[in-house]
Amino acid sequence: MKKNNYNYIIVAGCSRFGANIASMLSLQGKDVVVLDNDSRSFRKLSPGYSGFTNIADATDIDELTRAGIEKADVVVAATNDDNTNIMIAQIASKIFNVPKVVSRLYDTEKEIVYQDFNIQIIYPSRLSMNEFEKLILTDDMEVLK
Amino acid sequence: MNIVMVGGRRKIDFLAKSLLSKKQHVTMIHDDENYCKYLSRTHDAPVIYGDGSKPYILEDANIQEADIVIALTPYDADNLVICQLAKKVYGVQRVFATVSNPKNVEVFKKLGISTAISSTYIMAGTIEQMASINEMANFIPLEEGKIVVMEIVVQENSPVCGKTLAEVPIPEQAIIGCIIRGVNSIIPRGKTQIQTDDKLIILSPPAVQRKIIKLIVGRDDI
Repeated sequence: MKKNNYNYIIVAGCSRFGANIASMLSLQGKDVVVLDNDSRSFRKLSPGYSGFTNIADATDIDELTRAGIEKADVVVAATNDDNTNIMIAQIASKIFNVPKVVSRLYDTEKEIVYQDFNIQIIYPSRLSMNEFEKLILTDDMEVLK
Repeated sequence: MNIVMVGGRRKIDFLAKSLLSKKQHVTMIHDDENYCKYLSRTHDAPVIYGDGSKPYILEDANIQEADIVIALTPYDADNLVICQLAKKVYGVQRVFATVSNPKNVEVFKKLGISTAISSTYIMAGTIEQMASINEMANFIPLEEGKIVVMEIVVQENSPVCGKTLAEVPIPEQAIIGCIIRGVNSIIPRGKTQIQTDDKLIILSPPAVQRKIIKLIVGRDDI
């Protein structure tokens, strides 16, 4: 039997973003592990979340190993700190060869450190910009009508 | 040399003092405003207040001209990003980082920063060795412990006391590089005799370390 893609996912950082992704993937029937060093963060997970929650420092390679990073298909670096996300994503991609690594990055000036790495980046600031442009554009069109 | 240092409290204070006394050009970056005031009062060097992992702050410190960047913040992730920015974006030749998690020495190396220093790592190794063997006066691991420098004091009852170097069956991978006798240091030859209270400076890989200790101290109860 062929293994389905992306069945084992580690979400590092139970931020709003991390918690929503974890909840969504868990509802889709994936195996999800969420790591956060503050147990109170896990309340953001939806009531239907059926994955694991580990209280752990996700920049620690032993904690990542314990969370099963060696067999992970996807790692999402979703903490609220850019530098922590950079470190987690680089560890996942370079040291554990995780096939798909996604990282959130607020500061677009730092994207250069992801050069030479196989890491997908989500830029909240750029996404907001795009959305803003779309809203303004539609407003303009309505004015023109 | 132009040196940029980021973060850390006692570390940056101490290093700045030491480097400035050697006439180096030092620029300090710190993210605590009050500590910045203290640094600029204490040292005759520019101090920049801000997050040193931000490119524009690093540029304020004129990082393009820096020969050495030293990241001393308490957060390993911050130090990693500072070093990577310095190296990749600004082409700084030599970068150093301290790490608080000793495991991150290896991690940093794999991520392209080969000069991560963990005080815990160094301290743990030193204490472990010095505590276990009385005669061990000093112990310094080099190259992540691939090679160690030991300083062993020869006691009266030592099996090697009174022998010449040629008579001591030192394992092939190791060498007695120097003998400290009182205020003199002797580079030993085969005929050099080992005496009581000599300090032997021995260079060896950790694999034969035990053998050497047994040879010189007479026991190996580590």
